[in-house]
Amino acid sequence: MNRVFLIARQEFIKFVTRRGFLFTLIGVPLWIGLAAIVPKMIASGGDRAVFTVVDHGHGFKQEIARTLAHESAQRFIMVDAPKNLLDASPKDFAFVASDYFSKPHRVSAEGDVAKLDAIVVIPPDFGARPAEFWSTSAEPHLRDFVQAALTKALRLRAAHKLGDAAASAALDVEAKLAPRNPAAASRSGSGDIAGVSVSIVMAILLLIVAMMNSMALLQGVIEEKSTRMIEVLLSCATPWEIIGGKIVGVIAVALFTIVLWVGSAAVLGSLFAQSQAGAMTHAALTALSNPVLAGLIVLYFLSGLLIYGAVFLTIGSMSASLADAQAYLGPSMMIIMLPNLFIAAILNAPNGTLATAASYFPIYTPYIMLMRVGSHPPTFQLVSTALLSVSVAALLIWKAGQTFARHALTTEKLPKLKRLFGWIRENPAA
Amino acid sequence: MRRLLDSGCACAKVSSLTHRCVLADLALELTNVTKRFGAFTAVNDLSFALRRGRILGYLGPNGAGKTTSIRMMLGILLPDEGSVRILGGEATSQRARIGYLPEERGLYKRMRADESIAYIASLKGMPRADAMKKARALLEQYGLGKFARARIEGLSKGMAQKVQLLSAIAHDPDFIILDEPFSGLDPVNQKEVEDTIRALAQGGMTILFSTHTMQHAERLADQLVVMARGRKLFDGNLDEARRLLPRRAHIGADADLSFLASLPDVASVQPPNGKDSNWTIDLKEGAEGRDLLAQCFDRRVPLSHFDVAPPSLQDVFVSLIERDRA
Repeated sequence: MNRVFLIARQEFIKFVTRRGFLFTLIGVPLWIGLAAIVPKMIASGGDRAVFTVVDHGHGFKQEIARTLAHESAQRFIMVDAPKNLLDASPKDFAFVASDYFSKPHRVSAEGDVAKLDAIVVIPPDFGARPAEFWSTSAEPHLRDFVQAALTKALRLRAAHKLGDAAASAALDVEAKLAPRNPAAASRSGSGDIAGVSVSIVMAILLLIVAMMNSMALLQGVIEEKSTRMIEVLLSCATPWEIIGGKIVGVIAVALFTIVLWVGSAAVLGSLFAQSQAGAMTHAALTALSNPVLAGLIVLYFLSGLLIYGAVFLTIGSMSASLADAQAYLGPSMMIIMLPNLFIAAILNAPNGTLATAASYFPIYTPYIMLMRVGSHPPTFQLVSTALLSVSVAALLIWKAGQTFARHALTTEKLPKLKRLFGWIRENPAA
Repeated sequence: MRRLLDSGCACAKVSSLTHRCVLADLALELTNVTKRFGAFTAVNDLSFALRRGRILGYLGPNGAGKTTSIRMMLGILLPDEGSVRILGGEATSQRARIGYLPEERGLYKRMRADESIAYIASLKGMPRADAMKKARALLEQYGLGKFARARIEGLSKGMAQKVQLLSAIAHDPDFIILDEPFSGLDPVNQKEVEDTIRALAQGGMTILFSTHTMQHAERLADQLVVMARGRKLFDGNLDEARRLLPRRAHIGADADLSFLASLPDVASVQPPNGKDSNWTIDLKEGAEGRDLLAQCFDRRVPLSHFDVAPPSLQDVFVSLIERDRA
């Protein structure tokens, strides 16, 4: 047992001291973070239309600002009107305005610079005369928004003028719509969005960590074979001790990686607790504190890691060089990545027929179930897929161990496919 | 076994006691070992034994079955037939008492020199802290102290080979197996490795090394085993090996010495090859060649050089392999 841990320790150190590991350690959370933040930034920042209001009426600008404050999508930014716009005569207005549409100008006291997308000019007798909506863009959303805001303001003023406070209040009533997503609702019977998110993130991490570690495992075995380090190891330990050490090492690296990522997320989440990202992180970590969910995630994660590790270990055991291994890596990667073709369908209906059927396809079970586990699949499915995952992982590790024991010393080229399956079926002599 | 008894165990007088004594004295014993890979027989009915504290030179051309038999000695492979006993037990149970240096660089390229040595020593059962101390002491002792923290990939081939040799001995094994320890080394490093092997043997270790270079075997080995095509062709010491071929005389003379062919001790006479004036006279088995000099004096042949020497191990080896191929 001591030798298993010594080999595991060596594997762990060998792996975590690689430059690639450091890049992955930093790169993956960065990538996930960017994937979460960038679309929001694009949605909230990139498409936000900037406009100003030249209000010659009385208080319409404030009415628009009030309506804008209630705008949940935050699609528009209203800035103060520049002085030369306010002072421009009707004859010169088009000339002055065009300058603001063509190049960025300082649009706030804080020094923000932007190009204007629209200028709203409200005449002193607004209501009798229309407001002017100056814009070089045909984009209708801002115009609709301004029109709705001014309509509301006029109605309120009309009601107020009639002296009917009740009518005025009635006109100020706004119907609110709470956004709901049917896909999210079906994913989470109890509305446990955080749990769903955690399990999906863990599925993605499984794929990343498993690929990363398994590839390192494969490279390590090939390097040991090519330098005949494997002979030195075999003169010190049994093949099963070596395999055991390598597997424990891979698991240790994976857990270390996950703990670092989760730990960093917790620290960052607490540091930025007030932000939306902080709230999301907190919710995700709270979901992980559910022992059943956390236990299932760990079980599926480790099973998946062992399944992919066993596949790559088998290839490495039978390859004399990385070039040889490439012959089997391509098809293996294609098979492993296959569930990603159905990922959208599985996420839309995590307890649907496709997702359920895919969950029982042995090598995909951990990956698919990680995606589904937060969506409360039936208990029977949880138990049966957990057993299936563990059994398949154990079987594949056993077969990988046999292949390693038999072929660790071989340095000839890879066999033909038929012979390969023959090898895998056979029992080792040594 | 008979050869071992003949070569002189202290208690050879009493047969049963002798038997036990010799068995206890054996570091390695292969008995009728056969290993097949499919239809190919890599090692065929191989038997030999090695006494403790001796150095065995394991010789043979490529594909002779040396590496396969070494793997069986290490317990990495199991024989299909026969048995391998090492240090009095099964090979698989003696791992901690055996050191091994494979033919190529059995080291992790990115590992540091001291860690490499300590890693193997700890796998062999040495506590890790002790293994690290021992590794640093050995590196210091063998002139690599300042490279202790260097990565293997940054060391020269000679230094890496030394580190590997130290990895094989750091756990103080009783038996070390060195597969081609001189392979790829320059003459200076070869001598250093030779000196190390000699020092280890003087310290009581039993050593088996394989090599293609006969000079190393001639200088180092107490016992020689020659293999070819999976079979043992010879097992004995250097003198016994040399006795397999007749002695050979080299005579430097500008005169024609072909008259020597008529002497009863002479098997053949070969004239100079054109590069020098040395005649080569192969003697018959057991002949000492004393008549050669007398005959030359009688005929007043002026000689520039005369020596009668036993055949080199190289000659014996080539002769054995050619005879086997024939």
